[in-house]
Amino acid sequence: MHRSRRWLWVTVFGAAIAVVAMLIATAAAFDKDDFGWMVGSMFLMIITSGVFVGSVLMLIGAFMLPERKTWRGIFIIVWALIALTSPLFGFLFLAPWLLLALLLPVLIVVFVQLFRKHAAVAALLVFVAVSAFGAKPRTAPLQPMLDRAKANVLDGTYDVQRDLAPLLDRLATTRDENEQDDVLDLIEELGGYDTIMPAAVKSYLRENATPVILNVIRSNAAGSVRTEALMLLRTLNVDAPVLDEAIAIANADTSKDATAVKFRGELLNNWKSTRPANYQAVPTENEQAALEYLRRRHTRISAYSLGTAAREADTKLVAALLDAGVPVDAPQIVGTALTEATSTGCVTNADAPGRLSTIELLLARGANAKWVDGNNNNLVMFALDCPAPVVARLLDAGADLNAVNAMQYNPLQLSLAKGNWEVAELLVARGARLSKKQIDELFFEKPTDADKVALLRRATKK
Amino acid sequence: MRKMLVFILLIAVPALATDVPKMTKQEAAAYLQENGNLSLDSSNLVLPIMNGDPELLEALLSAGVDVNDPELIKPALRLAASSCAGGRVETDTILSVIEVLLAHGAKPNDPSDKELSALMGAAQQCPAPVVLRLVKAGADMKFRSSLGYTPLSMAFIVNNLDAAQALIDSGARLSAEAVAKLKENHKDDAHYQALLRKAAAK
Repeated sequence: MHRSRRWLWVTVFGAAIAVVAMLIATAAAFDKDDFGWMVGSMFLMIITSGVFVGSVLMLIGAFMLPERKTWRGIFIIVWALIALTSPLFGFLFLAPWLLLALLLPVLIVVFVQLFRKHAAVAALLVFVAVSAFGAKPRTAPLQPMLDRAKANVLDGTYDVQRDLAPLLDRLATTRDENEQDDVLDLIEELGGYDTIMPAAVKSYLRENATPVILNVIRSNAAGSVRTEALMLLRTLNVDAPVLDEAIAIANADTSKDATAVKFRGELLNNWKSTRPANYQAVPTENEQAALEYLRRRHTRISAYSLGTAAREADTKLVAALLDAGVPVDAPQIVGTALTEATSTGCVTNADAPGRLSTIELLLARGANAKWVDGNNNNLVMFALDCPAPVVARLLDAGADLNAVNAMQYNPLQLSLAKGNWEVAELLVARGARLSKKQIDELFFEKPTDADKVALLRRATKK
Repeated sequence: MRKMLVFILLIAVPALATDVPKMTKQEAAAYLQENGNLSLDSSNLVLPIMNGDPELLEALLSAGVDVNDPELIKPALRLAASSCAGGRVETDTILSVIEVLLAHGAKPNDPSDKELSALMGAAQQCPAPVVLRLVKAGADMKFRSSLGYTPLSMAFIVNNLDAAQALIDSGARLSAEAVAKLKENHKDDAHYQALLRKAAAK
């Protein structure tokens, strides 16, 4: 190789080092998702030394070139000097770099011209330059995907295959701790069992995210990621077998984070006995409006919320929860929402203005008026603290006037024992009857006021 | 003779109670701060009533807790009657608690007592002095639950004959219907049957 060509190689090599160092720094500054991982304590030093070494090599090479006094040689020297001094600009280093980037095509043309006797090398240089600028990042940046998925779910224009499936794919393939963390966070935000999100999104994530999450727990991902993944199963309220599988994986962990991982397994195990009941959400066409209303009311979508709203006779909230997919007969601690609306609801506030409309709404949405508890107490027996119109509505909806509970009491006997004479009047008017013997046994001393005596007389008539 | 006995009892009963000194608002606040820094929430009345801590009760009430707060789990005097259960609390302590409650305006006949009054509770499980103190405070001896139970019939039903005696001495009587039912119990218990006859007398 000709001597001057050797120096030309040195110059090109120096330029390449400087350009690569600057590209890496720029990528890390502007695309944290894909390149942020490179930033460590030594990052700035390595980049600065890269730029420094590269530009010094360029300067030495350029001085040794026979063309150093032509405009091409001077151009190379000027470019190298700007690169060499760029770290002196401190945080303004991007200004000289922008200039260098703008001049880079000229630099390449200069190199190609200097190499003109070596067409193959020139072609290689052009190829490297073009592919460096044309190359796309390895994967699509994650943050826009997360933002888009969340925005679409919130405004109801989501498509689970388009918006969520790629995120699960990413979670399944990425080894980047930040990415894993970001996707897990979004699954939690969108898929939590009681979070104010569309039922279809929640059920999609419960079904499709769970296997991916289990794989993350099984993997050698960072301890913080695996513990987050374990707790996410609780947020999603996954089925018992999945939970057991996760607990088993956590218990068998031997990594350096085993203590933290096992502890999360223990938390899941404790939670198993108190976890809220799972139900199949049945959203309606009003789901989107309901979600917006629930967000304003800060009310999570759960059977518990429905029970509370029914108890408080908050008809609008009950409607929104039903529209958002909570099944009308989703199990409560005792009975269903209709039980809450009539039993505890009437004990705490029988005269709530929305009492009757709430019950009307629950019945219109298919609530089971024939529900009985384990001791055969029916809804009328539970509703004995309610005003008579409420009891009348339950009877109209099919609750049994003549039900008998495990203690052998019927609603009329219980209403008399409770002293709810208004309801007793209603039950007798609807045809409930007692024998004289039943009345004697029920009362220690029978009432003496005329209207009560008259009612008991009517109650014993055929 | 009987009237004199009642008179003596009525005079003597308040003397049995250990006197709890009244507290000013400042003293009460200081007492509360030294004793667990309790908040002025009516739910904090429950434990001192049930466990017999008249001093803490006095502090809470003097500091501003409403003795008749409808949020209280049961009316205060009914809670005091419940504290008789099982003989966990000394009778004079219960009497002190009742004195504190009455002094702060607790109602002997709380309007929320629909099926059970403080006196009816006391008739079931309290010794005679507690029953008498409530009667003296004005508790309704003719209170009737929906199913027709009265304090006196309750005392007979649970066989709390000291309470029954105190109520009869204070003038409570049973209806013929109640006597007929109660006569069927404790047929061999002469004291019970004698008291029942007294309760049936006009």
